[in-house]
Amino acid sequence: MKRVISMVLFGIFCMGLSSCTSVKAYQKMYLNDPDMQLSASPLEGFENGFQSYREGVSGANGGKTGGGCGCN
Amino acid sequence: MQLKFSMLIFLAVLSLNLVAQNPVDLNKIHLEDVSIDFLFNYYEQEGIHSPVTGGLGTEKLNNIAPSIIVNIPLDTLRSISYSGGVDYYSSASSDNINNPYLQADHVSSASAVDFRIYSTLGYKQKNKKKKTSYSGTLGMSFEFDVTSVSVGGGYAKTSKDENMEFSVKGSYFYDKWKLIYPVEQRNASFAILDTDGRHSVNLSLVQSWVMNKRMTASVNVDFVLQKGLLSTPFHRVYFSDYNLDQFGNPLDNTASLVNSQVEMLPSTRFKLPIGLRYNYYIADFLRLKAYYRFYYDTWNVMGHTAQIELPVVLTKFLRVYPFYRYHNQSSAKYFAPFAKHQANASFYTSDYDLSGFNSHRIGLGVGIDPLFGIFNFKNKSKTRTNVLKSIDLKYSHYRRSDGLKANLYSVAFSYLIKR
Repeated sequence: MKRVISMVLFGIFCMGLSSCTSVKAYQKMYLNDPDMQLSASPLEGFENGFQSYREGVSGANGGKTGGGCGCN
Repeated sequence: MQLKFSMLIFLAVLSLNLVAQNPVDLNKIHLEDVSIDFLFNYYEQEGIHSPVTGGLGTEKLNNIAPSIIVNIPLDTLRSISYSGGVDYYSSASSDNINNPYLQADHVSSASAVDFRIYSTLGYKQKNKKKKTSYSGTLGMSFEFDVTSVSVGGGYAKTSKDENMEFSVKGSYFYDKWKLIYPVEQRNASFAILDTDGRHSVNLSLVQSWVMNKRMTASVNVDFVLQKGLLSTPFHRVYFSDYNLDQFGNPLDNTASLVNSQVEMLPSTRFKLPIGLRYNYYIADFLRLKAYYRFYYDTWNVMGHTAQIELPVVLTKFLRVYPFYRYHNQSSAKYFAPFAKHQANASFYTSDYDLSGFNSHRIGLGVGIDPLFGIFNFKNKSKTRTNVLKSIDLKYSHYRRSDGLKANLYSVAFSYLIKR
């Protein structure tokens, strides 16, 4: 499973390395789509919260990193 | 004569209008919409490794959690935000704080039901010329055993072509715990834990890129330092000699009053999570959202998390987004299952949240988001149009390799007040 995940991630980032062009504002019709936003959606906030309670791992997702709750 | 007089009046009025006036600040004329998100979450879980009873016993818990997120633009440069909510939960394992004998027929006590209230106020200011923004937050939360206050600040800078953004956020939390020990430990003549406060400092760095017309990516690195009370006072731990009395004679299978201990963990923890996000617009009906996180901390917990989500646009206003998340973590060096700790250990926990396991979360979301909103109506004075912009429904099932299972049901209503 770890090997599969590593290969998928490597492939995705190879696609990313293929181009890094300057995109003008009027060319961002795809990027302005709500599903293309990089920040976590409001519904993801609660998911990140319960996962920070149930796992020893938290952070790097815009959610809880520790503190502010009776959590790890 | 009359015509000449009228022309003179006209020229006089015209010249008055041509006199230089105070320049109008155009940024303060147009007010952006106020957005309000109403969220409702229901969470239920079941497991067999409750830390309240030393790593054995029910982890059954239900949580009803309504919340609200409001964003109010004061003008095109400044905005204030508020987020708050309530977690109302009932927990069979919390109920066992007052149950020293792990009896199956234990009558439920007051600790079985409780709630947490939390609020955060935020302020953000942009500088459009320099393409920077500053933000600040103040927060607090209350639950039966933890009162918390927080303060935070952030800075973000966007590149000239707005294809890159770098942001840095810092936050500080102070949590004050009520030291509620398991009932059999409350008459100790000495202080079991020497502090009731927890300090958490977090520094978060995020760099995001527009890779091309269809692709965005970001890297998020957090540095987290926690000091103070990092264990949970009402968590029990049983050592390998739990079923022996103080004279070393074997007891029956019931955990002995004498041999339960309060969870003990170090007073310092440093965490380093690194997250990578990648979004790709595959086609008009399909997107790809991928996430990976690496985690390491000084308690020896190392974790890998990967998530993939595929939003599918079915019609102009309806989309579904199936997702899958996999998580794997190694055990903290102070963890051991029920009755496996040695009596000479300095730090010990049987909290399976700190154990080694892998977990899977799978689910489906549905979004209804018409271009002009689901419905709109004007307020009584007809000065504002209120729009129910979208509804999102989400279900996910979570399963951990130690046997814990959970279901999460969420609904979000996004509402706009147009100005």
